Amino acid sequence: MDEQATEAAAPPPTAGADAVRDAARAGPRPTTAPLARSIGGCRLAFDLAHGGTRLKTRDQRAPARLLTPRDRAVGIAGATLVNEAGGLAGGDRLEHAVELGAGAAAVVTGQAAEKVYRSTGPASVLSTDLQVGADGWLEWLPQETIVFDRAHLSRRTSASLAASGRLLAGELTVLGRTARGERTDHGRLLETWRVHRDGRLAWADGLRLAPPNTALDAAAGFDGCPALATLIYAGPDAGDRLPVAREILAGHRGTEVRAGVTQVAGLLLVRVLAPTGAALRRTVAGFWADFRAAAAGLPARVPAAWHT
Amino acid sequence: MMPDTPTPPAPAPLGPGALLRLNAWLSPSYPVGAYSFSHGLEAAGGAGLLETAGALQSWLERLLLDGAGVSDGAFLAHAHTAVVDGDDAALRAVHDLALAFQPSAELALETQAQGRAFLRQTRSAWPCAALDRLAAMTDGPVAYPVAVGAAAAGHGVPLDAALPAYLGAFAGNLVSAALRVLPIGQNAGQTVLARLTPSIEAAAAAARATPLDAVATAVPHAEILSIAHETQYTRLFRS
Repeated sequence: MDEQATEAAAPPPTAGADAVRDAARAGPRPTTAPLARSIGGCRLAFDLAHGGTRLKTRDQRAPARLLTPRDRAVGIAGATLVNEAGGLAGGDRLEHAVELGAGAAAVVTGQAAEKVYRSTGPASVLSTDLQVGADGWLEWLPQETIVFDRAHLSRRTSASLAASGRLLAGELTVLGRTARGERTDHGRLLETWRVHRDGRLAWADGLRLAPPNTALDAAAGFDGCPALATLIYAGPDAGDRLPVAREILAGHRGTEVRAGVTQVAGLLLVRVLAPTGAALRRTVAGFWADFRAAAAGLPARVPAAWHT
Repeated sequence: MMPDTPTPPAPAPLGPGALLRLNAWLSPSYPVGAYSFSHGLEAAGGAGLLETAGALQSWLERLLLDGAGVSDGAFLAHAHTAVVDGDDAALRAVHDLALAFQPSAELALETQAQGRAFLRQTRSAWPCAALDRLAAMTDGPVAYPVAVGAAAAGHGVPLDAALPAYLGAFAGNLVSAALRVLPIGQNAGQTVLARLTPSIEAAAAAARATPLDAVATAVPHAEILSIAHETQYTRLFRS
């Protein structure tokens, strides 16, 4: 994004030692991104073979790693992404791509919450590309991303679906380490979504926070709730699922959580706003489990990584 | 963050022709049905969040600075610039994004119903080539700010005037909606509108500086209330 290009070109004054060390570690690297500390990610491709879904391609680039735990409880093929760096500092990038072939079914999640540490300027970038082929079923639900105060996160999620493909995807963001009462008054965030169906842009979204982050306490903004999730369900049956989605969401929303599900551009959009990361996880996991059962006849279970 | 849009030509002075057009197009009597939409305000009022003029003012400030004010404002600005530059690909890009950038079913209806009505009415009474090109890009739906931005550019109305006028009309329409559903009187409502002037100017400046791929908002609670309005038992407004 423009933001990265601009900021990578203007290193903050305090980054000298890091930049030298990283340059030594990384060897020759384009000088346009002197602050890129680590660029990692996984590329996964699932296809349908011998009547079942298999993981055909599994490229991993450190510090990202891919696990394929046998998790029969979820009922379909699965993969779990791990960030062995333990989090992202300013300038770090994680780029994941998941491609699901025609008729395949898979669930992809993360091993743990992703942490975005304070940055002296450059953004930490999380970039995800999802592709779903005809009659495919993909679930993409990493665990929450915790944005530390003074962190700078740029996250883009892009999905492209065949007309008959189905996708349940979500991103959870927790602003500050809520358990220790941290606020993110100086954090920066730009989160964008682009969903293409049958080659056309169907739905787009953008969330921005920039200091002094007036939106965090504003009644129309976050209203003091630092944990936010955006989930979409795209598929030819999305409109028909609105009533059951409303019912499921109402059943999993504690009194302290604000949430809603709506139908836009032929897909379902779920928003959850919660006072803590734990409350957000509970609501999202509960909705996810029951919705996959209602929409696809799958077990009402989320992957084991979410159970901790 | 700086805009990556090309610098538009020096703005023409705002002549009476431009002023009269903005006045007509953005007046509550222009037949786009603005009075039937509250942009989630009815739901927020129903939730007891807007009991005072001060609360209403704060709510509208956030919508202007972190909500549709900056996102619709950016769409209007990009549509205007695309028409001034004669760049149909750029006009199509902003048309597609503005239609897709929808946080709830009712907010989508609000922008599409008004956009469609504005395009039809303005092509009929104030025809121009820019609106014909925009109409050729859609099989019906069009986002309201894109239609207004294209019409303004097509008639030589400068962005400097069209953008704050559009945001002022948005705020004025919501104040008018507030008077119908909240315990707030005429005088207090107009005072709120007057006090929103700096926010309207700031939202216009922010909208102009936003690249298309960085259009974003920060009003999740307002969006969730707009969603809640879909299932609200009694409703005066369509959004």
